[in-house]
Amino acid sequence: MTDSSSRPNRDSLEWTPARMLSRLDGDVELAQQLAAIFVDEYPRMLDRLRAALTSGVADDVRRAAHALKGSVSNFIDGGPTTTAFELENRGRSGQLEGTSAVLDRLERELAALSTSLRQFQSKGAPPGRES
Amino acid sequence: MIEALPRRSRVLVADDTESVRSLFERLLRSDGHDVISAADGHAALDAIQRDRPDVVLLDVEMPGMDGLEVCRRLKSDPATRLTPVVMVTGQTDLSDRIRGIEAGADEFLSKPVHPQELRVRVRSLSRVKHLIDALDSAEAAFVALALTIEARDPSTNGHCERLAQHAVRLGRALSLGDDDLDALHRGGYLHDVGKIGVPDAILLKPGPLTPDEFALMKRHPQIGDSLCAPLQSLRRVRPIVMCHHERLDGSGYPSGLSGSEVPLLAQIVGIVDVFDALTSERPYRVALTPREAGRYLERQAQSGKFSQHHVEAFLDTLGAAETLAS
Repeated sequence: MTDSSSRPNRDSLEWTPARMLSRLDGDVELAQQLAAIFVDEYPRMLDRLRAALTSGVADDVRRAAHALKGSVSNFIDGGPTTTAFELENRGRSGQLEGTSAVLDRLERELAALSTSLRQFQSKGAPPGRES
Repeated sequence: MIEALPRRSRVLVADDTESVRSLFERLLRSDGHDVISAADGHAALDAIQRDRPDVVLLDVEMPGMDGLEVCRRLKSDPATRLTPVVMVTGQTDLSDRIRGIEAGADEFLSKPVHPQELRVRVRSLSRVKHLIDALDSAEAAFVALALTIEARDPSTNGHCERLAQHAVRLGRALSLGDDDLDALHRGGYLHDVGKIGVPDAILLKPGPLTPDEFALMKRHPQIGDSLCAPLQSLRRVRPIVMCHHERLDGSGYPSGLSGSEVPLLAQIVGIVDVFDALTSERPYRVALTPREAGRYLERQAQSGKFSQHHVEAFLDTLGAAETLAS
């Protein structure tokens, strides 16, 4: 039986440029620029979160997860945003047991999102999916 | 009435996440603003001091010094306290919002920020800041005018500044609040701004005024009040300008108010105005010592022109060195 904490959030697989472009008033160039920055910056944010979880300092976990949530929420409501929020709450409450599985899930979700964003960067908005 | 002319706004974006800064920078620049960025709280404070932004966007969570502390410091500095601050929080972070309100934040935005909401908030707060700046400029012009009037009479050199200091000291001794102390400080400079309407021949006359000349001189509080009336920011100063020559026994001018009809702040400025006039040299008389001037004020209080309590408090503030030396 699969542990629910390690199961990928379905939303992470459903990222499309449509919602993001809608929020950015159809500005494809801006969306691609943000995607490029995120793909570059998220591994460092993930490293910071991983280090915080390893150290076991709950407030560091909360801060690192909060920063990652703020960054990834520009692209997607659920998936990694939800998972980062879950880790932020774990940090806030000081309950860090079992968070390694949640971190694994977050890494997979971010990897999937990153792949989608790289494709978007290279191809731009697919025809008919801007809105 | 004064209106703010349209101009580009300078906006500070403080967030430790590069993608968030980039998004804000891009959106705000496309809306015609100049944008400064800071990646942590200390850099944000440096940028505020150096660049004097019109609007500040602060992420709550930042390394070193968080956005709440930056906001608190910005709002406690008289030079920056009127700069609008937008705190950027997570959608679910109610406690951050409450702490942001306590820190003095003016507005809030939730992440992920909707571009249109960001633009509208910043435009709106920029307009507010430009109006504040325009009012500040108008008030600065008024103070310059008051100092110019003072400069017409060399014997009153420094009177406005001393009056402001004395009035604030007495206000503190009477446990007045910050708003009243601020009004006393500004009123110290502006109380005689209406003398712009008094000819030099009367203002500088080295001797007693004729009844007609005195009647003209007595118009200066009303002239000053009319000058200050269009400025909403001077609403607490106007009673000082209008009533600082009123006396509790009804013998003052321009309205002959008595007792509690005389506004408290005007009573305070009235006392320190008389003291400073008496201790300054005039072409037609030598300056009194602080002790002599203090005795004069006590006699005026005994005759009902000033509050005895206020005069005693004022003389106490001067301290032994000033009141007893001579």
